[in-house]
Amino acid sequence: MIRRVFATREAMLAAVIIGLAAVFALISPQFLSLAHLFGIARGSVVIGIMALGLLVVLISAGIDVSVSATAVASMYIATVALTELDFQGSFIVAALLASAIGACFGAVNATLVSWLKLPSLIVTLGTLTLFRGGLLAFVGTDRIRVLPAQMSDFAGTQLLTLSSGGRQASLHVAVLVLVVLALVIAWALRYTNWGRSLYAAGDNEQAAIRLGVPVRRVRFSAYVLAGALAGLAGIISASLNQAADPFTLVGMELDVLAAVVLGGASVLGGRGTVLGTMLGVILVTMVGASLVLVGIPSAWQPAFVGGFLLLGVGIPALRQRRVDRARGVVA
Amino acid sequence: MRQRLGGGQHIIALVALIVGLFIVLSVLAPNTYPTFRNIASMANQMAPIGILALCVGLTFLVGGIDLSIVAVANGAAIGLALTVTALEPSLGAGPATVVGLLVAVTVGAIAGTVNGLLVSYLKVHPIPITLGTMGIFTGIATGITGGSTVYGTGTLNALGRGTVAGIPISFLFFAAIVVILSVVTTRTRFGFRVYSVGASEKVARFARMNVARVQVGTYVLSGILASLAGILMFGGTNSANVSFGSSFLIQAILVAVVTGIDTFGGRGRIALVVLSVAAMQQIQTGINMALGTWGGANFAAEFGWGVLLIAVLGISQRMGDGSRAPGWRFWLKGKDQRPDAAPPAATEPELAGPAGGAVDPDGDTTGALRTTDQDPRT
Repeated sequence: MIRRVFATREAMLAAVIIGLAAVFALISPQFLSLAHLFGIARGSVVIGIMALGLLVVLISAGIDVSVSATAVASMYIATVALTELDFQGSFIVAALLASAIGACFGAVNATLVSWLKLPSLIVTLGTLTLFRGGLLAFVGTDRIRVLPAQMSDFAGTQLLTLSSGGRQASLHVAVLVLVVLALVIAWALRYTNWGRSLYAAGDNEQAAIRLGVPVRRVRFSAYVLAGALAGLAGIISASLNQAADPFTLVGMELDVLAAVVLGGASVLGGRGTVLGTMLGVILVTMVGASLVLVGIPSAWQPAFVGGFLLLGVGIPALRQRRVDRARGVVA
Repeated sequence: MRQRLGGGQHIIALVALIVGLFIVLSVLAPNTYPTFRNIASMANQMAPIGILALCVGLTFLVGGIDLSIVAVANGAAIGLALTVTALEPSLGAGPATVVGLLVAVTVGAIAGTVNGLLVSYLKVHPIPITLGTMGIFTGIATGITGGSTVYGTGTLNALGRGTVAGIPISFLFFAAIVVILSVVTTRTRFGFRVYSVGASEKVARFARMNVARVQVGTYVLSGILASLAGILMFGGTNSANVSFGSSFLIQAILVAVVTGIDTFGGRGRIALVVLSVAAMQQIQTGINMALGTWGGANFAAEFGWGVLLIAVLGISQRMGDGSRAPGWRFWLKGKDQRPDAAPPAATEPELAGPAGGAVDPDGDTTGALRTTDQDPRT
């Protein structure tokens, strides 16, 4: 029983996270400060929301590397529009607007992949440069420092503030957004028809079609959802940074993909859980935020992210090799 | 073999594209475009992209993809710059440059070996593998340079600016590589195996080919080629930085797709990279001329590459191998209506796998994706 629990990806990841945290804490006592831990939580919001979207796409046997460009483009377009309109309403409206724009970008990917049946990696690599290039060429390259009032208020909205050792540590409300989204998507994947169809379509397309699963439509919805979530992540990122910068989040897709793949999702589809993804996000964010604390320059961070990605795909592959060999499967 | 190389129609289409673009752009800018200087400058610029496109094309042929090429190119250029700067005081310019070049090519070979071993040993799809190694290579290069630009001592400037009989050295270099690779892929045993593995890993294995060795060989070749592209990039600017050439990956993939190399492996003709990269370079120059002083020109070009990549991919996918152009009915009704789509490659004499008709990315993929289908399910 215990053995079986530890054989799951989630338990393994949790063990790795705790082990690494212990190492970090031993090297630098600052790691365990509430401020740093809350900082990790806050830092995992943007990548976490994008990861949920990418998880859904991966389960459907696709890949979307354009999430970072979608996030930036929808964030920037939404901010420009709201600034032009001198918008004073709620942050929720801004978030919905960015999500809607992101969903449109997602629909572009969805059409190309699920209707025209083009290979998803190359298509989304194309839309990655297309979205970013289009944004910078036709919308603008200026960093907007003065955000609409509600957006900049959002940056200061804390869920709770604790004081430890005379210093204040605050948990940002955006963390709650991520938790709620994760719960909703976990529920949808597990208990709705849509979620089950997604796994079916990703695992074995032919079988899914014969079972009457609307594979194309399900796949379409996955990319749209990923786009919408990326848009939301983008606007939250801009609000947290107090600026809408069209040059941010470059290369973020690698972090997101690493987190999701570490979390146990397969690039071949049909596999992946929200819990695993969230643990992957925490691991990637934790290491990124703590490298400096333990004396490694942050320039090395991509190497760690890349290494995580390889571990994420390598460990299950090695395990599979062992199983195959035990069963006597040739090659 | 003929069928694997694609029909002659594709060559005609590419040549027509080049000539058409040349005529249109010459009419639009009669004083600047059809000049010898401009053509030489375009030939110079297309060399690094062309070599990177060869990397993508080769890995496409074997049924994979190498996303780490730009990171490898930059890493090789950084290694070259650091070595030359460090050794020149003690060894002198000539020997230092030779050592630097060796270092650069070694970086590429090591990177390629890492990619190849990971892909062949883990049997995971190369997308996450090469994305991961891209991160690792970028991280190491960033860590070593601190993200700042490193400069050489100018010993390789000839690679970027020199000419032989008016033809840029970099272009001659690129052309030589294309000729060599073309021979390697079409005339040698290794090349035959690359095509076979790309068409169907499973069939290649049944034919007692050492699939892993072919894969490693291809990725090593891709890594070395990427380092050569890095050397050319360094020669052009006498500087290297991890963030150089950020749009090169997408352009290289675009060129490989335009060349007609099947993204699922096993078909395509490497030599045609020369034609497609020439067409791409004309478009790039055309965009630059048209947008000129506008600050967003580079971004608009990136936008254009994305649109073009998807458009070309869509068209080539719909037309299958391009040997028989579909009629208008096909465009209305979709690929299932294609008259010759039904029996895939029934007449194929060699072991070309199921890639006869139009390739369907979801269902009817070639063996490359299938046999790597090692889901970690127990």
